[in-house]
Amino acid sequence: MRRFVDLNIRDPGDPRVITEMLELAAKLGFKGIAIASERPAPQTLRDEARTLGIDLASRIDLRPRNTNQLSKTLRRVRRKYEIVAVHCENKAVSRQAAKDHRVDILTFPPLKTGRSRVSLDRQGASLAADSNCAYEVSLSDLLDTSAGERARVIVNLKRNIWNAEREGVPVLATSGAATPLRMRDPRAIASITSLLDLPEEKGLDAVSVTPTKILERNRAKLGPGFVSPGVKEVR
Amino acid sequence: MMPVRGTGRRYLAISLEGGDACSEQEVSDALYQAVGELFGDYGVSCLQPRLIEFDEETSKGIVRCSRSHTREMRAVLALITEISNREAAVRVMGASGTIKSLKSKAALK
Repeated sequence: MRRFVDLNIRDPGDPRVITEMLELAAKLGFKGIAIASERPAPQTLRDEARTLGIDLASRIDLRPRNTNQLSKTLRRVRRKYEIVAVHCENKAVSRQAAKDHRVDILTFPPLKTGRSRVSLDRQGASLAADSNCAYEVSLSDLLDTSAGERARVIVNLKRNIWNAEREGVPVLATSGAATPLRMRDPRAIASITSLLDLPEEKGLDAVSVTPTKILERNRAKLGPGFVSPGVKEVR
Repeated sequence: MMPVRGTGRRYLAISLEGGDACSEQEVSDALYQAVGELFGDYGVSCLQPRLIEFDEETSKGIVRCSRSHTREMRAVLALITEISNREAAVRVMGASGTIKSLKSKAALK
């Protein structure tokens, strides 16, 4: 049986809403969620989630303007959060983030507007595949756009997924919900990938296998005794 | 005479969440509109969406679609964010090939 995980629930700020979202996530069939917030999830919230059968993780979304800012921020936050996502808003940042092993998830603007004319191209996908970064497709990108813009968003996402698949970058599907009404069940999130030319099994993997692997890998890294991938201090 | 194979259908049990209660007609209109917006008229003909029943009190209902396009139908339902200008979410509680088994599975009754 699949273990569904949503790695992008946005922090609504209100603790009551977070509790409501945790309960809803459990009802919808999720076994794990990651809350994207400026502060790591407190232990009390993790305990509360555990009683609901949810494995709660902390996620931070970085929006660096340049590569220096990215490196500095990564140095500061990497040990505090289980998931680090980088919003690539220019090519230099997207290349650096794709190369950096400390980055778990790459996200791109859904629409190419103004200065944000960056997407996951073949070269970026190749770098991301080498450093084991995942490419994130968020349902909120489709929900927050009007019907006219949605076609353009789908075209961009399709192109990004095609490049990711071609170079072997894991694809991750998330809800990106900031309110309970924007949360969807795992199969609904996976079904969105049908619009993006991803086969059904891969769509389901994007909400189960891929996020679980990222979480397990990072928890092992953050755990005691970790030296480097494959090397652990044993006492 | 050769037997004729009918079109395969799939029934989805849905639950509507949101502030205000919606009428069956409003949900039906929202369903057609959502399929039309995402897949166009041709998509409507392929998906063959239809609201079979909807209980306004419990906000639960059954949607029928073509079996080969169930995944697309789920995508359409996931993308519905408002019904009659009121914020709403449509959640699929279960799917089945017959209404009878769907009702027992999704506890609609």
